[in-house]
Amino acid sequence: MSGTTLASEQVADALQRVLATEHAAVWVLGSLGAATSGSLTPALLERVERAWSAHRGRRDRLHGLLLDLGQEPVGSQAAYSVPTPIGRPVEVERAAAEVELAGTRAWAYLVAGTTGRTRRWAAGVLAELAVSAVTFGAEPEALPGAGDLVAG
Amino acid sequence: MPSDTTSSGPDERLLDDARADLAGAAALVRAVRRAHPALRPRLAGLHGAHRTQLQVLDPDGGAETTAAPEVPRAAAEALRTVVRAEERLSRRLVTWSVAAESGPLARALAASAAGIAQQLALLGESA
Repeated sequence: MSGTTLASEQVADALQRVLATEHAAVWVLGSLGAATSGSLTPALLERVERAWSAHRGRRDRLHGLLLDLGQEPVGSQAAYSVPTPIGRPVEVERAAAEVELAGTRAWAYLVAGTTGRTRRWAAGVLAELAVSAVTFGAEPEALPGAGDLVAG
Repeated sequence: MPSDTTSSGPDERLLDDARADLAGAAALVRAVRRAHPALRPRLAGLHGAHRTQLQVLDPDGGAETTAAPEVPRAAAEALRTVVRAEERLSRRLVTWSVAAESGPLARALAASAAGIAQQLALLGESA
């Protein structure tokens, strides 16, 4: 794979895969927000809403990039599975961390599958998601989104 | 190590630079932990992250640091020195990721930058 000669089909495929992940993230984080009390845990609600808003922005930008490539962006599913139960704050945090960790894997894939400005954006989002994951309680990783590279 | 990246490939110089910077940052963290034992717990995550990142990007351990890093005598200043060095390393890893011809290498470099961003966020929380 070359940094300068990636076929547009490869780029589109990478963008579609990440867009599908973002659709799921928006849906699940929306559900987590709905399950979070603004009066009992306002700080958690604010973090969930901030993450939800960030994923919506990324989803919309990916949508636009695919249209620019002449591709039909993949749509969202009617529903996604949400880790259950999510009734307690610790469960909401755990589920949100899982969403962000799934995001790191998807965006790391996008780094490999794109070049230039899109790759720079993907690398930035990868770092944002890695930080967001640990704020929701995930264990830090040496290579977020690329744990497969780490031996045993 | 990304499987399609070799030391003779088009990314050779870029990878050498990344390895050297990473090894330098790791050496600074080690030196600060040695000079300021009170900082050892707070820098344990960075220490471990760099060790793993070097195992991935430099499995043969060829990267060498040219000089022993200078460590400020005050612990707070030593910690700030580490943070500044890590912020710089993270930015450079992203720059090398964008410049890399190899997609898998770009992924490994960007993931390393993200791992450092995580550690910096955790350091900020513990400040």
